[in-house]
Amino acid sequence: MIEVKDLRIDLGSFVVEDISLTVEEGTCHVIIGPTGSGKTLILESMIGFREFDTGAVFVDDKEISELPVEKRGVSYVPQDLAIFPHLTVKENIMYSLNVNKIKEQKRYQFVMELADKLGITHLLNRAAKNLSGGEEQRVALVRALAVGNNFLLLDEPFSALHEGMKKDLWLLLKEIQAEYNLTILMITHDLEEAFFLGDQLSLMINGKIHQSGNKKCIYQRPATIEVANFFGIKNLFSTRVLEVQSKKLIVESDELATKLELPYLEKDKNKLTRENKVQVGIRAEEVMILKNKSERPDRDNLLTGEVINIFEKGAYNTVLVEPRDSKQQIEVSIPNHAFQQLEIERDKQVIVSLKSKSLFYILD
Amino acid sequence: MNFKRVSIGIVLTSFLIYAVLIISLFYFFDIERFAEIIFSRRVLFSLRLSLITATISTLISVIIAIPAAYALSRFDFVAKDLIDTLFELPMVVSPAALGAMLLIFFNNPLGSWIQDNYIRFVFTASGIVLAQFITILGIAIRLVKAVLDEIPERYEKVARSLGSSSFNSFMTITFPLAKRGIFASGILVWAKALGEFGATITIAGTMAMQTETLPVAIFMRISVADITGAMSLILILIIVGLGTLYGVRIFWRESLYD
Repeated sequence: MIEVKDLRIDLGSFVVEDISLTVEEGTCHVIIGPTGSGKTLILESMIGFREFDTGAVFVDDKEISELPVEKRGVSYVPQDLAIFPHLTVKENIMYSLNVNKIKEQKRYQFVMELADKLGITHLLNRAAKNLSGGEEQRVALVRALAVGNNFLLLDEPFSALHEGMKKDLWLLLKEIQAEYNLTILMITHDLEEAFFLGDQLSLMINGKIHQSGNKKCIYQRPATIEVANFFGIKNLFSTRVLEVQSKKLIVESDELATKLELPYLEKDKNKLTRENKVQVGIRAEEVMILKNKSERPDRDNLLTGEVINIFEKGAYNTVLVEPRDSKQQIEVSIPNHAFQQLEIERDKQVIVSLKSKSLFYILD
Repeated sequence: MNFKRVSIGIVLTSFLIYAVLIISLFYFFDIERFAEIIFSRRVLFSLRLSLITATISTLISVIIAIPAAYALSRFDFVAKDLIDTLFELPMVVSPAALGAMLLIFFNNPLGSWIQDNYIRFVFTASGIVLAQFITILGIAIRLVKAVLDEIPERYEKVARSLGSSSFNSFMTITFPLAKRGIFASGILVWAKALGEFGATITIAGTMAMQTETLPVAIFMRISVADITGAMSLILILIIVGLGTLYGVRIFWRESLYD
C-alpha cells in the first residue's frame, strides 16, 4: 500500500496542498488533472526528487519521506521515459541488477521474463537511442519493474504515443499489474486512460485534489463545478430546490424552463432545503433523444426542443438542442447508428430525456 | 542575396582575417633559419616545457572542473551566483594582472609560508603550471558546466530510483554521456594554457632553459627585434596548437559514427 498524508509543496508562486491519498495493494490509483495542476510535483516528492514542506509518504506503513531515493523501494517511469541513450536495451533493463551487483540467476530470469512479456526480447542488443516511442515505453516499464519493487509511479508514460499503441500498452499494463500484483500510482491528463487504468481516481486542479474515490462514483457525480468543467460537461443548469422527498429531489430550472427530478445522497439531505440553489448536470452521452413521448414511457424529465446544430465527431455526433422557452442549449452525444435511426436534422423538433438517475447535483 | 550567403560570407571573411595574419608570417620566412631555430636546444626545451605544463595544468583544472561544474549545474546553494561570477575572473582580468595577483599572494604571509614549507612557485616551472591553471580553471568550469547542463538531470534521477547511489548515477550515466564534451573542453583549455603568456611571465619570469615557455620565448625574440626567430616560434605554436585542435575535432567527428 502507498499512502500520502497532508502533503504540501510551496513553490512560492504555486502551492500544492492538502494532498492525501491511498493506493491499496494491487490497485491502480490515477491522479488526473489538467497540465500545470501540480500532478508531477506530487510524484517527484514521493520518489524523493523534490523536497516538500509538510506531509509524509508511506509504503506498506513504513515512512519513506526521509530515505534517499535509492532506498525508497518505489520504481518510477518519468514522462520522457529517460531511457539511457548510451546503453543498449539489455544494459538499460539490467541497470538495477548491475549497479546493485545482483548476480542471482533468478533475478536475471525474472527480468528476461518481463522482457518477453512486454515483447522486447528481439531488441535486447539494440542501442537504446534507436528505439521507437512504443519500444521505449516497453523498455522503460521493464527497467522499472526489474528492480523487483511492487510499487510503481508512472508520470504520464503514454502521453507521447498514438492512440493504437497507447491502447495496446494499457492492456499490457493491466495484464502485468494483475500478474505481478503491482500497486500503481499514475498521473495523466487523459480521461479515457484514467478511467481505463484506474481503480481509484483523484482529480487535481490548480494544486488541490477536488475529488477522490471510486472511478464510477467520480464519473457519475462530479463534486465541483471545476471537476465537471474538466470532464467537459456542458450540461450544467442553475436550479433551486422545490421539494425534498424521501428518495428524490425536485428542482426547478429557470434556464431550462422546467422542473427536474433526480435522486440525492442521504448525507446531503440537511443541505438540500427548499429554495436552496444547486447546480444540476448531466453528461452529453447520458441524454437521450426520443422519436416521440410514447416510445419510452419510463423516461422522466422529458423536454421538447429544436435541434440547433449538429457536429460530426467520427463515431459520435454532438447535437445541440434548445428546449422550448429555454435560454440554454442541451448537448447530446449520439452514436452514429442511433443518429441515423432518429433521422436527426437541423431545426427538427425532438424530445429530449434527462434521465433522473443520470442527473447529478453540485451544492453551491 | 539571401541570409545563408551573407552568413557564409561573414564566416569566410572572419577566417580570412586570421588566415592573412598567418600567411603574412611567411614574409619573413627563411627555411634555413627556421630549421636551425626549431631544432635548437633552447626552443626544444621551450616546446617541451609548454607541452608538459599545459598538459599538467589542463589535467588538474579538468579534474577540479568536473565536480565543480556538476555542483553549479545541478544544485542550488548559498552564493551560487557570486561563485559562478567569480569563475569569470580570468576572462575579465588581464593575464598579467592574474600573474601579479599570484605574485602579491606569494609575498603575503600565507603565500610565503606555502613557498617556504611546501613548493616554490615564483620563478619556477611550478609557477608556470599555477599561472596556466589559474587562467584556465574558470574557463574549464564554464565549459564543463555547459556540457552537463545539456544532459537531462532526469537520467540520474531515474538511475537513483533504480537503486543507484548519487555517485554511481553520475559515474554510470552522466559521466559517460558527458565525456565527449568534457574531453573537448579539456582540449580547448589545453590550447589556452599552451598559449598562456601574461600570468606566466609575471610569476615565472623569463629564465632561458628554466621558465621559458614558447609564448615567453616569442616575446623574448620580439624584444630583441629577432623577427625571423619570433616568426619561427609563432609557426611552431600555431602548428602544435591548431594541429592538435583540428586533429581532435576530426577524431571526434569520426568516432561519432563508430
